Amino acid sequence: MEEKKFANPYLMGIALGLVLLASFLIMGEGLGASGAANRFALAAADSVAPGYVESNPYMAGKLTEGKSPLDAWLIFEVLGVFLGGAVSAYTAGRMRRRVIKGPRISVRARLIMALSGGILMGMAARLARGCTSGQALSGGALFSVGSWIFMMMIFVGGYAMAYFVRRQWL
Amino acid sequence: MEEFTIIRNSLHVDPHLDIWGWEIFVYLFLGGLAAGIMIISAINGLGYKQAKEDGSPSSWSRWAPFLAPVVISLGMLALFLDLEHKLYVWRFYTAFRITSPMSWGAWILLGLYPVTILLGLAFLEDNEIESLKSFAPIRWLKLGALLEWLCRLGSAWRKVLLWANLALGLGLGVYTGILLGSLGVARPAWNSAILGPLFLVSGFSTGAALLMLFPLNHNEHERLRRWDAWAIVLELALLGLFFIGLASGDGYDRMALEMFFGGKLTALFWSLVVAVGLLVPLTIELTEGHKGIRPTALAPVLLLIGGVSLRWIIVSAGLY
Amino acid sequence: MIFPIESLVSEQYELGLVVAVAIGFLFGFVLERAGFGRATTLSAQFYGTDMTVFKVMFGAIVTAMIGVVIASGLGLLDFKALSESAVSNTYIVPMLVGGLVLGIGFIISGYCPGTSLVAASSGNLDGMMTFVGVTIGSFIYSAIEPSIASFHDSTDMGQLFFYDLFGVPPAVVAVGVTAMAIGMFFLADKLEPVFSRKFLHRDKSLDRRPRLVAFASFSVTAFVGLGLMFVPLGAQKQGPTTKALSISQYEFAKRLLDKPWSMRIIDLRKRDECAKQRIPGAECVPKDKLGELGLEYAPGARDLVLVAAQDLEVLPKPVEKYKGKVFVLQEGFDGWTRFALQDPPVPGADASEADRSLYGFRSALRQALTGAPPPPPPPSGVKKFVPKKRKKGGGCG
Repeated sequence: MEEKKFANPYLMGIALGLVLLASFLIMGEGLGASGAANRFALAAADSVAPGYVESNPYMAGKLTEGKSPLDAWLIFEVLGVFLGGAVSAYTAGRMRRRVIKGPRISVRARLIMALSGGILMGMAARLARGCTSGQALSGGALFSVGSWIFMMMIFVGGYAMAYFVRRQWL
Repeated sequence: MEEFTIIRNSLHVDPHLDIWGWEIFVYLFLGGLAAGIMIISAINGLGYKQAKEDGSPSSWSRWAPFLAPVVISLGMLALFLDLEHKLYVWRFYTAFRITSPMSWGAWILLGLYPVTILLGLAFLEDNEIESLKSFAPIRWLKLGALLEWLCRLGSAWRKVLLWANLALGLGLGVYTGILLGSLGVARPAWNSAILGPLFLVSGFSTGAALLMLFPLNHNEHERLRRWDAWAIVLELALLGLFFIGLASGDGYDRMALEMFFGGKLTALFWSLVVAVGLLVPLTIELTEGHKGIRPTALAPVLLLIGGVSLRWIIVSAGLY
Repeated sequence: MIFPIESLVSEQYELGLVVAVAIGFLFGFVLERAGFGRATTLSAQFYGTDMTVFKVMFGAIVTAMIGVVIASGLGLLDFKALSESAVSNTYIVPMLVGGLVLGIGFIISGYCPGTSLVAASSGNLDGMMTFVGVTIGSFIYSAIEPSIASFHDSTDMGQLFFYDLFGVPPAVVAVGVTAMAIGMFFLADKLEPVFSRKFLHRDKSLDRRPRLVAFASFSVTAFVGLGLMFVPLGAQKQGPTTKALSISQYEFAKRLLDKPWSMRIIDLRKRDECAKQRIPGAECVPKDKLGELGLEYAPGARDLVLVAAQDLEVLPKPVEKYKGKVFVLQEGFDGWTRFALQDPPVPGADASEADRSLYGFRSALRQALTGAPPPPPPPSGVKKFVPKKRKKGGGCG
């Protein structure tokens, strides 16, 4: 089957806004992603070295007695994101194992870039109390000043760095 | 000091040790998986002529029967780890009681090995038998002649073996479901007659999923996908019946039902079993058939996750 | 029914998790359909060849923002409860730095954390690597956080909202954001072909119809939201709370230590007095300047706590229209000084249990606020109260 074209960005923007609105109205929560990654990391650390987690006040503060770090709204939401993305990609004929990259970079280099960019984002998201979805999108829609500052800085950082990694994409 | 040790070893006092760990539900899952593989190989074999018209069966589907003993051995290993008195395993066999699923389960497991292995050998092609004979351990132990004899035996008894596989597979699948019910009447979530067929169908579906992970030819894959989609629909219906059964029962039954509707197991059940394990794979399998999209490993993997989760959650439901 | 549905986070917690899967499913579905599962679509934003990221993101923000304004205008939504649960505090410097680093990580990896998940689910290995990276990065940050904790918590402004900052109602801000977004969408559509020609040497065709639909519905709904301000409906009918409650020094101190973000503390004394010494996190707003805060438009997410020099006899006019709860600190700042900043009287050996624990609390409080050495322990072995929270910086920037 031919791959479908991507949908119109304006209509998708409205659709995404409605999903966010539904989340606000029904649950009183925004959407998120990096918080779930943090909980995965926490759960892994807690099962391997519970003593270390206890000794770190930042990590220990996120644990609830008698409750797994994975027993959380965000984890289930992220599970849904995974399923939704898979079903969408599948039904549009876009599901394929591959590495997305520009023409001038090797697969290996691309994967290393992806990993290191991810590490940077993981740290940044903890510092900023959320990522593009949890902080910029959800907080931004609720008029939070910090979310807008954060969002503007994402664009600043992206545009500033774009020139230096252009070989990866163009 | 001694007192301290005694307290730590008491299973009912120490909160960090569950009375039942992961072994039981893994065993039930692998048992169901093996049952599914046996049933599918039997049906495939019984419809062998049909399969030949579709193009000759791929080598992977001919090796499939051997998966069942491998899978069930892993399951038995898990169960063995769970047994407190490992040396008394043989008692399962000497103390046979016709009413106890535990003891006829033990006999099914014993019968499973010769039946599946002979079936597998019966369908191998000559060059495959040759390569099996040159396989190092068989060469060293000089088992080549025995192997050939077994192949001839299998071929001669092909029809019988196929029916035996089907029967034992069905028995094993149902057994994994009613085993829980035989353990205690006081646990309403386990004491449902629906669990037998439910685990059987789920075992069939996960068995098909496991086989779909292998590079089968197009027709074989297509057939498994179609069977699996039906199995998923049937499983959803059986889950509905399971809940209706609990809802129409007494107070304890309804307490068990509560766990799936608002109680402790709600989120895990609906997300892992229903969404991950059934609805999403069903959607993917249906679009795959409808639009002819190239299959990926996603649906089978989700089905397997769903299969483990189903056993895990049903076992947990009886423990609370 | 008033949204958000409270029970889904309390008694019906498990059901809420099932809802989470459903909402997440839609989220992932929409992201994938928009093309956010492809690093090439996402990174193109930063080379100007494809502004999809910008359009989807701002389209979503505008939609949700207007939706929230309309829902609360219709009295369907408890805006205050929503803002309280879904918005983090504003930490200016951490967010500046965090945003910058996240933007850099974004263009390097080609994804943001959420979209990397969608990419992974559609089979893109680079997306999977990015999500693994995000998890590792979270762990690294958590491991080093204790040593940079003071930076992590610096410039904490509490929950800070634009309508509080500008002193206008949320609906007005929403209209402004909508207008700005539409303007920038036009600009984006103008720029896309320019950069596409430059970098990709081809033109991008533009389908104008969905754009027209989107812009029209944004504008119309934004003004509907604005209009609802003037129609007394639902929750607004009840009118604002005019009665102030008084809060004891003990209650107040406990809240200050446990959940300082739930209060907006306003110090009504003269500016120089307040500047000299005030309760941590308090804003210095003399009585006659209160009108400038735009309290009647604030959503009332936080409880207002008024601190005068002594007891406050008459409630200032601007406060009456505040939508949230209003507290007045008993005995004002003088009482606070006596309670929290001076040595508490040591209870005698025959003092009651309550007296002793109050003593423990007050000495711990004094230690936390002034950094003075701990006073002598009470006569018998009573557990000392240790405040849980780190002391936060003042919010009067």
